[in-house]
Amino acid sequence: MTQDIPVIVRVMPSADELEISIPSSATPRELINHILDADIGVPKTDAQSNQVVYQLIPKGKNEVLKESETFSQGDVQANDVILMIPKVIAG
Amino acid sequence: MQKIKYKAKEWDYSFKSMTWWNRDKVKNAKVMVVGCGALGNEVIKNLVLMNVSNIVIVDFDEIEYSNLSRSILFDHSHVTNSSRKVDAVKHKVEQINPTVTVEALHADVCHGVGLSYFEEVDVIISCLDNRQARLFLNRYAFQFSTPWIDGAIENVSGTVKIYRKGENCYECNLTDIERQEIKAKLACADVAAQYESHGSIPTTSISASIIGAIQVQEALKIIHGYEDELMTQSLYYEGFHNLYLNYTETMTNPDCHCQMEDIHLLRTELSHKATIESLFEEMHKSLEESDPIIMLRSPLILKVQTMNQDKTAEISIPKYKLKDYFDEDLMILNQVDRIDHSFSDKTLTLEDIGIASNDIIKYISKEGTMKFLKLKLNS
Repeated sequence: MTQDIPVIVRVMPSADELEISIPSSATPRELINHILDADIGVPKTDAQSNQVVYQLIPKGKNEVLKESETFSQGDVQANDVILMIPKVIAG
Repeated sequence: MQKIKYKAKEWDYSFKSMTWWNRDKVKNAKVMVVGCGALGNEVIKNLVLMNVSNIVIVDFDEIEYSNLSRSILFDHSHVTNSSRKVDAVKHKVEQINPTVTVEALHADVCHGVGLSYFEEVDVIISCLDNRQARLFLNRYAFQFSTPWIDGAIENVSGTVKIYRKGENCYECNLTDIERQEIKAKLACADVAAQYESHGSIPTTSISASIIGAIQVQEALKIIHGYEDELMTQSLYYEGFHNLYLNYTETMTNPDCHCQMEDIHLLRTELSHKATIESLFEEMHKSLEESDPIIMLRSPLILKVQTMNQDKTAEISIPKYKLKDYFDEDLMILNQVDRIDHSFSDKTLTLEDIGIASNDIIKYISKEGTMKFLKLKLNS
């Protein structure tokens, strides 16, 4: 059964914090798209017009959540702080 | 191996009291640095100061004014003279530490760098600015089980990741979006457009210093064989909020290139300056290969046409070099990605068909198996 899990998403590099309830059956890919579509200033593209790719990492577990696995499968718990970090590519 | 003794006033004399330091290993190490931008400058500077004595550097760019604010090895004269990054770096570091040997390859790592470099070096340090080249680097490095250390920077943040065959893999951890982007860019005929960065992402000398220093510290551990002390997780650093996040990426694709076994190398005395004909003769004589099929890394373009279809030309130019010869966009009418005995012009050299100096030729043998032939370095 799908439950809502209240979490805090800390979006890097701005470190802005979003309090969000996520369905346990949702996937990281869906949450990232939801945040990007919310038009709250999280960059979708970089200066080269490449799509910025983000990863979700629950603080304390320090393991990237697989983009197609559900939050339930990823063992995300209520009140977890999830870091949303960009995959940096420039050199 | 003869042990090298310390003498006063030698470059690394002050390092001798560092308990972890082994001068012989550092002096004999060979490191390849791919990318000579902001990060590459810092990495190469640190390698040279630490007396890593054999460094191969790779970059195909020229120095622009925007590089100066974050690149310690470049100056105004390089901009005025449109110096190539690899030449400027080589010249500068040999002034700093003349005991270091720098081999400068002005080339695109995906096409113009001989695969033997991936086999010969102890570690590769990636200072690239795009995903396509990282994917190629990952595949080539893993073919020879050579570890590579990836660094990336943006603004005051950055990442460091160590990739070692059997432990983790860049390709396995690409997201669907990244795979789509790489595929789209590789399909683009314009090589320059495949790597369209050219300093447009804001980076700083600060993040380059921090990330580059960590990359070199880890490279020194690999050189020394300190397996247990290596970073086991990736690092994300964000300087404005002082975040140091160690994390693990765990995706493993059983069909990925990283699952391939190491390749067995055959050797020849021929270099990339030899003709196709002499290669076939040599393969027949030494390897008893009567009808090998040479696989090309970049297709060989044989016929092109202008976009308005008023001119047609028969050529023999590797696809990645087309822009060096033609300013305008062209339609490709004929190309090959393999060469066998039926190829019409066997007087062409291996270099002409896109095989690089110090390269390894991939070919299909008479038994139908893939084999690898290491060319001799043309000195």
